[in-house]
Amino acid sequence: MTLAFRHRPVPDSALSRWDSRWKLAAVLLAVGGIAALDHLAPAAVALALGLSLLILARLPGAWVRVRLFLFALAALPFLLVLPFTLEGPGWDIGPVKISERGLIAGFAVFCRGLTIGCFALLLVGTAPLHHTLAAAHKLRLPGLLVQLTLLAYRYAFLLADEMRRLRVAMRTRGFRVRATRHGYRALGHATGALLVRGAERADNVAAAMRCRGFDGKFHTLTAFRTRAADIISFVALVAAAAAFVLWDRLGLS
Amino acid sequence: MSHRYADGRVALDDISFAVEANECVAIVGPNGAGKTTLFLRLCGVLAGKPGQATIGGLDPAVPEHRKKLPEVVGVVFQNPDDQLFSPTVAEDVAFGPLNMGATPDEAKARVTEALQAVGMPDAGERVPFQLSGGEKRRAALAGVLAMRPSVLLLDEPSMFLDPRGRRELIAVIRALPGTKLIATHDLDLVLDICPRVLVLDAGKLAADGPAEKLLANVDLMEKHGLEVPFRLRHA
Repeated sequence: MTLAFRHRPVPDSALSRWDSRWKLAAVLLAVGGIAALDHLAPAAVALALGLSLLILARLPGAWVRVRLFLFALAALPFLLVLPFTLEGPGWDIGPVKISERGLIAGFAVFCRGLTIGCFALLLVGTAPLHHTLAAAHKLRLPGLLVQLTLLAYRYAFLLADEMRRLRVAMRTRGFRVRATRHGYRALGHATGALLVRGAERADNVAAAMRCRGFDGKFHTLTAFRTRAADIISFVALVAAAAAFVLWDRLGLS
Repeated sequence: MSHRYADGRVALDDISFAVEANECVAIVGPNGAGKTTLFLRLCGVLAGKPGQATIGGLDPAVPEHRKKLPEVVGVVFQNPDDQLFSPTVAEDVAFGPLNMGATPDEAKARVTEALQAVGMPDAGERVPFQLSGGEKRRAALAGVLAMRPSVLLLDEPSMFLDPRGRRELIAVIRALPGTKLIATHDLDLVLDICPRVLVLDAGKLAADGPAEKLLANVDLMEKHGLEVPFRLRHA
């Protein structure tokens, strides 16, 4: 069976060996710090750090590039809009005025967005999702939320496959996506069928879970063990994020 | 036991039977006969009136008993994708034991034991969605076996399996100890595994007796939307 999604093996690296609890805590704190940066210089250095960590993680280049491109696309509107909307000295190009402050602010937001993307990829790419979620549970994320996220992740694959089969079934009967009333109706029906199947499956999964004693608590086989390297890595990343924030706030450029 | 759904449809209509410990019994019947409803009642998923059934000494309709049922009754559902909800096979097989209070080490031992029993000793780290149909079915069975139930309810175990997957599953089921109730349309599987058959149709128990005798009865089979298995037709 060809799947719409595939689970990717985690490449061995210092970052994949980092205890998921320490890694998650460090990344969350670092992301919090990076999100608070206002100036371009610390944001650009933070981006360099994020990219360096991605290289250290030895993740497949194509996998990283595609996802970083999506983060870049999400951050791009700021880069395109801020130079034309913020006031201050700048350059006049015909009827358009480009603000220097806006351009720098746009680049700063763009760098911040990409850096956060780097850290997100680091979390997703250097440990299986269920390890990261089990770590989140150890860091006091409610078990039911962890369970729900795992179920959503697990069944996204199945729903995607069902959608693919529906599309094939529609195509074999001559359906092509067109902006016509019939096209919209057919897509609506297919989406409805998918939702109904999803709801039915949710009932069946709930029954199967109850039959195996599910009581709302999250349990896992994933075992965690803290080593000195985990703590050192945590301190290093959090210290780096704190340094960026200090640099940003005190303007040490 | 009787069961009526909220829309008024009667799924089970005053059926009565007893199954001895370690017996292997097939439940056959056309679609909509009430086989799955019977299983859902027996495992306590569907609520019913107390006093209608006991399984391993527990009444599935009594809330205090229902909590203990997963340790006594294991259900393998029709569609293994409904049952394999964890990110890896090992996590899925450990799901039940961990819910029952097993420590992670105990759960891991049970995972190894259960995967061994279904002939998938190295599948622990595999992702359920990437298993073949037969492997999914066996992984789902392992998830139930890890709870060491004394009664196994198997709903359409051979559905959608290719001949090899089906053969492997039959060998696994045959080797399992304990009481087994198997709801199926696969009458050849019944002849292979179950000495006794219950014929269910429109929620009523139509027949109860030895598999070879009932399944060879052309009138009975046709009346209840079934067919005499190929093997018995040419015997």
